[in-house]
Amino acid sequence: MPRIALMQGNEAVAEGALAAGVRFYAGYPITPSSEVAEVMARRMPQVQGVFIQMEDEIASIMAIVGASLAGKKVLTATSGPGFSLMQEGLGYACMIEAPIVILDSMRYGPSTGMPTKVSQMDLMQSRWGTHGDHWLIVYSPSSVQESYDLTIRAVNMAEKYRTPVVILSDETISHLREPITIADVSPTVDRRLPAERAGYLPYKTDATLVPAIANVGTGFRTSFTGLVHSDTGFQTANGHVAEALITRLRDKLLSKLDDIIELEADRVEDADITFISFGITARGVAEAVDVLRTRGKKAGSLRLVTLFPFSDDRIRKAAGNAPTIVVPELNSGQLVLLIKRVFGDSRRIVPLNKVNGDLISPADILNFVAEEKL
Amino acid sequence: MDNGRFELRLTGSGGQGLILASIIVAEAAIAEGKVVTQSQVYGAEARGGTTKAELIISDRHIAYPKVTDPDLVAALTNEGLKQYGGGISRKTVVVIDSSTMALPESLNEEACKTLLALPIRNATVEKLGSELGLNVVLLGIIQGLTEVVSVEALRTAVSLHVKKQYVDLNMRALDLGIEMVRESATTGIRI
Amino acid sequence: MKMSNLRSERLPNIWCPGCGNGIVLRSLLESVEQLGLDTDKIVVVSGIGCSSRAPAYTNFDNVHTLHGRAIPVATGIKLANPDLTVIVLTGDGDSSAIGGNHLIHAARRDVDITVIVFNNFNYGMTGGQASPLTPVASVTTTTPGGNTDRPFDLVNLTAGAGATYVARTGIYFTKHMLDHLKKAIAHRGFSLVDVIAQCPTYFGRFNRKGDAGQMIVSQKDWLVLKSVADKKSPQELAGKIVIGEFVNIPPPGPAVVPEGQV
Repeated sequence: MPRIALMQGNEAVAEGALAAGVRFYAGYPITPSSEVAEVMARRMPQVQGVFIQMEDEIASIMAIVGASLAGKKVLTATSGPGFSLMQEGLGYACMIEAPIVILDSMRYGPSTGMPTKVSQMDLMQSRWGTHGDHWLIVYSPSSVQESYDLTIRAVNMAEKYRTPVVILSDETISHLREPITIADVSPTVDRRLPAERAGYLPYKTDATLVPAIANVGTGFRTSFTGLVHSDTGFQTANGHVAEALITRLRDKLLSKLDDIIELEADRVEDADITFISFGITARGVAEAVDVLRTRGKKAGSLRLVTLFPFSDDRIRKAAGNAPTIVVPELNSGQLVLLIKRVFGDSRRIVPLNKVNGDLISPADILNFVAEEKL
Repeated sequence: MDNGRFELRLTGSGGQGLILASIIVAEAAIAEGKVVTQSQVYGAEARGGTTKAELIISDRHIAYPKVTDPDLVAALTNEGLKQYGGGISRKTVVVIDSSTMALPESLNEEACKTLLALPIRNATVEKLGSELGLNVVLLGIIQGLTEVVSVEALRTAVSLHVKKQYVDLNMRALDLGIEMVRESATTGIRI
Repeated sequence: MKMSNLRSERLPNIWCPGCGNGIVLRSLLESVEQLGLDTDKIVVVSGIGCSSRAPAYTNFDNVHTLHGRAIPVATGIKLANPDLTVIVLTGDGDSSAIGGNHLIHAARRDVDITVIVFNNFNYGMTGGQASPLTPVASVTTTTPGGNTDRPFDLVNLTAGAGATYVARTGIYFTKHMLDHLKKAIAHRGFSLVDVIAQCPTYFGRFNRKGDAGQMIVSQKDWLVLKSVADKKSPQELAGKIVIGEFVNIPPPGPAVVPEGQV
């Protein structure tokens, strides 16, 4: 029978990961994500899993990559400063196609910033933090329940597409406690493994574009490298191979947008003003939309549950026809850049930014709408 | 509880158990089928420092999870009230600990219609022998004032958080808080 | 030696003529063979640099990671599947500069992996720059007037960090190298072998050490067996490097419960 439990966001990420079959956690303490490590330190031994506190975030992400190659479902959790250190490992995981899941609980930056204050300043970092063209999935929970559910989904997507998945949460959701419903059993996905040793090529793909790479230690004598590699898994400097590889890494995700992208639209159909937001900010928006509607203002909301891949086309279709689009976010304007790209000059795009370490409250939104005469 | 929604803020100094107190009310409310969001402010200090815990209890989905329009603010230190007394309106019931706090000027009759000054710490020490249980006394006060959760649900939630040998002490702490509210007509400054 | 453990289709290797790395690789393959390990259960992990290309020439599972990061990846693999034999092949810069923190922490944790350092005193792949193991006064492309920084002593560094097996050897001493690689791989716990090799292309050329053959043969003059060195004075050992086994702490055995105290 499903049970209801009061949980903190960080705890929900840890429990969601366990429900999804994560059995290896490596991490380094950092506010506001440390509770994930604390829960994992306690819970992993109960499920014959491994918890290890590494010497830094670089080691943490590399350790989960190693464990993933050995067949485990893996998680690490961090915040901005640690996420910065993890970027090289994130790029490596993209390149070798290691399924890994990273929680980045956003705090105020740059640098050490305000460790205990919320922000949404890592949005672009989650997409472009590591060098080179690369593709990955980024989910944005806006509640404790969603922290649990999206972590399960993140683990499943990582396995299904052999890709890093980032859960881009924030200090508020990490520390918020809400009752959540936990199912007895959650649907899980396991990575596809090769069947035949004869003729095995780790990076040979079929129509799915996702390779069936053997776990190490299973007799396939498989090979991984962060260098551009052919389907053998060995390095090459052949430009055609490189182009095919990078294109496939892109297309394996971009050809599955139906499966990956989730957008939540609320009353956008007849809206004169639509808010596009993600994460914790969407909760202030939801309340503000209710109030605006009671005041006779046709307001709507589009919440991005999946932040990346970012599909201009899908956002355009989901956002309705409101002539005015407000983009509230806890940074100086990151999502709004993408929204402007989507709509060009066809709509009035208005940024609403807050960078003092507090949330954007419903009152902030209502005042903004009034002051800007939107 | 206006519109089936109740907003609570507790403030004081770290180590007084206010965060736990808010979690206990949250659990009692969930047991009674309510929706809650509980949060707290985090500081750099592990002990001491000013702390705040917030709880929203509602009959339906809670969108914005932070307290913006508190129904009850309970402060155990002046510093806490100063830092986290925002949003107090004429509808807000304010409880302060008169054993450790001076009556704040900011809370004049115009700003705050219902102010209850109770000697929470002194009564706790006197009746229970030490400051331990202070937060549970406060839970009793919250229950007595608002009945936002039932006494039974609160007793169960408290029991889940204390060792067996301390259950009795904590039940007495809860009763003490409820009793203090009952007597407040004579001891309270303004209600 | 069994050629099946060499991934022949990957040859020729990328190393310069006269490079010492192939000799270390051969010794590794020989060690694995002589130890009779299940080659399905061996994972060879490396970072970045000339030596870190070695795993690709083994017919084992091989993971070529990022610069300095082989050890945390190896740690993840080993903890995820303790049945595996996990061997890190790394260079002096990879292990002691960019990967230095991971090295000491793996030693501290006594994680059951073997680290084999191909130590040629410089960064070969990027053109012969100084590493933390470059001796004082040596010329490299980043120490054109001679290195003024003191080098790490990898043996003391990892022993101090808690490694339970530490040895140093040189490729001239082929049997010595083989014996110590075997002991390190068979050791339960963190093991490290500092293998002194030559880079004739850069370090040898810049420091007038002669050709590859001369560099190898000269090892018998400046590498001193520990058993011999133990009888010598510090003055006599000036300019020499001691090779041998420095730490060998067996893992704690199964707990023995004294009779009558169950």
